[in-house]
Amino acid sequence: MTNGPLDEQQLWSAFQSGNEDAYTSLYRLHVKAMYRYGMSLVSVSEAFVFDCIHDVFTEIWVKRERLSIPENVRYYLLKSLKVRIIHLLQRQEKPHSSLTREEFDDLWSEPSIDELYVQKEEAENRQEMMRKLIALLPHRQQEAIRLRFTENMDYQEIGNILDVNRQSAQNLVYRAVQKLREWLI
Amino acid sequence: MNTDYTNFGTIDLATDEAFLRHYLSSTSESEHFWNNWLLNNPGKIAEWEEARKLVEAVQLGLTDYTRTYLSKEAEEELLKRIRETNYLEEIRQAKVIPATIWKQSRLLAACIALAVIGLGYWLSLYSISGDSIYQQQTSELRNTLIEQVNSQKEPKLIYLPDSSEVLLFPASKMSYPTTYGNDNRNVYLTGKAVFDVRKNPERPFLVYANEIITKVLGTRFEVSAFEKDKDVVVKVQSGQVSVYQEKEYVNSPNPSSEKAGVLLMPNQQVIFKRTGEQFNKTLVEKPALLLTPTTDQFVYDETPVTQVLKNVGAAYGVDIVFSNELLQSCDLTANLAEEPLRGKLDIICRSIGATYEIVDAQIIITAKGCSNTKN
Repeated sequence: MTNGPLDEQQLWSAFQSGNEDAYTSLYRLHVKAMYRYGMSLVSVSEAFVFDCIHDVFTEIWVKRERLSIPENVRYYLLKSLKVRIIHLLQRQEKPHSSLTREEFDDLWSEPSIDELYVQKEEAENRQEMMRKLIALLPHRQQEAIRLRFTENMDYQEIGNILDVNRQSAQNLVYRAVQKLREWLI
Repeated sequence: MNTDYTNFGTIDLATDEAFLRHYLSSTSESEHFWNNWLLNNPGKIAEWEEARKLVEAVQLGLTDYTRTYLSKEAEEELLKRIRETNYLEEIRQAKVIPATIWKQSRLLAACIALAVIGLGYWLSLYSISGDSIYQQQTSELRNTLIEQVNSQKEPKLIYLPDSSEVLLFPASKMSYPTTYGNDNRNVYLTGKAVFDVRKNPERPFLVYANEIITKVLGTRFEVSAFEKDKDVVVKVQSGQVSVYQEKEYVNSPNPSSEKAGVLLMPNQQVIFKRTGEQFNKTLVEKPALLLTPTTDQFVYDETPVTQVLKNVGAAYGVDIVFSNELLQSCDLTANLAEEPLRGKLDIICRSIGATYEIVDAQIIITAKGCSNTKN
């Protein structure tokens, strides 16, 4: 990251006092991460992801004077985005899903040796292979490693986003990395 | 960094907070720490190296995610939308009684002040010169509107999501809901605009402008509704347009029932008198040809005038009312190709000693008839 946390916090407080340039800078710094993270959660509708990013930014503008300065702006924005996405999705389809996501992950079955072999053989290069192997992980583990390895969030923050405690968040990442290593050997 | 690393394996390292922080965004401090660590733990070099490779592999696998492409255009478009919402929200908040007054409302004095402000606000809603109709209409939908403002000197072309086009004139504002095209095609206007509407019979296109609503299925027309003007004018260039008074349209008990409105055809316009709440339908100032004329159109050589009038009426899409009987012996030799509609009518009428007037968007010819000169 080119901008250290200090700069971002200065930007944030400038935005809070109504500075539109600072607000725009924050948008430009984080919109790509919000977009990719949003799309990884609901890949079916780009327009929906745009709407949710729109809502997050307009809401912080309205509430700017009442907000505190987040320690990690990216974490704060991604968390807000996820809350918004889930809020809208829940409003859209009334919950008749009886499975929670944790339960769903428990039902996840380990790919067979053959399946692994096919994925590894079919990949044209190492990047492709790694992408396919990651796609075989349970969804929450995938989300956790995206947040850990791309968005560089700490386990406490990942836990907050995934609604689990710090230790569970670390376990998710640990299990994902463990599996990947196992599959690679 | 007080973690005890003595029993750390490769995966412990690869998922360790400090290790990852160093790997993803190293600082001179973390550099120093891990260099020292490696010096003090020579037995762990292999694990350290493997952990680094493992993280590298995971990152490689996340490349597609990391590089998820957001186009510059989409980024700008979204920023514009966000700003517009913020702008609308601020206008809305400026109208609302500040929250601080509420906090003091235990004081009687504040209560009175509140009542006075409230009354002022209430009055402004109902006075013609006060709070604009446009603001009332759009403030109800505040968070879900996209607003376009033309503060430039030139008209500005705007594309709506269904690719209908709007030419927004200077000093004019237009809003439409973010849901435009899904369940409605509603547009709010203050000022002047020409609309070129994509045909979609299932979703009528509605323009709310001052006290009137213009409803179309797909056509080209102009609405002029400036806040300060006494009239609202709707001119039709092609297709059919219905115009209603907003209160009649909205209060109509049955959505599919016939509503009292004015139907406009091409080259017709309606002027709504805002004070008397009256519609006045007439022809536009300069009616335009509906189709591109063929080369010898409007060139007449001893052509019966009844046929000339039918021909002209059809070309401009206007009703010309005349008596077949009286005009049966009149004919005309003239080239009217260069004349506008009124010029054509002038020449025709002069040549047969008739007059014309425009009543309710129709042209009425009053003639005495032609004496048979060939007797």
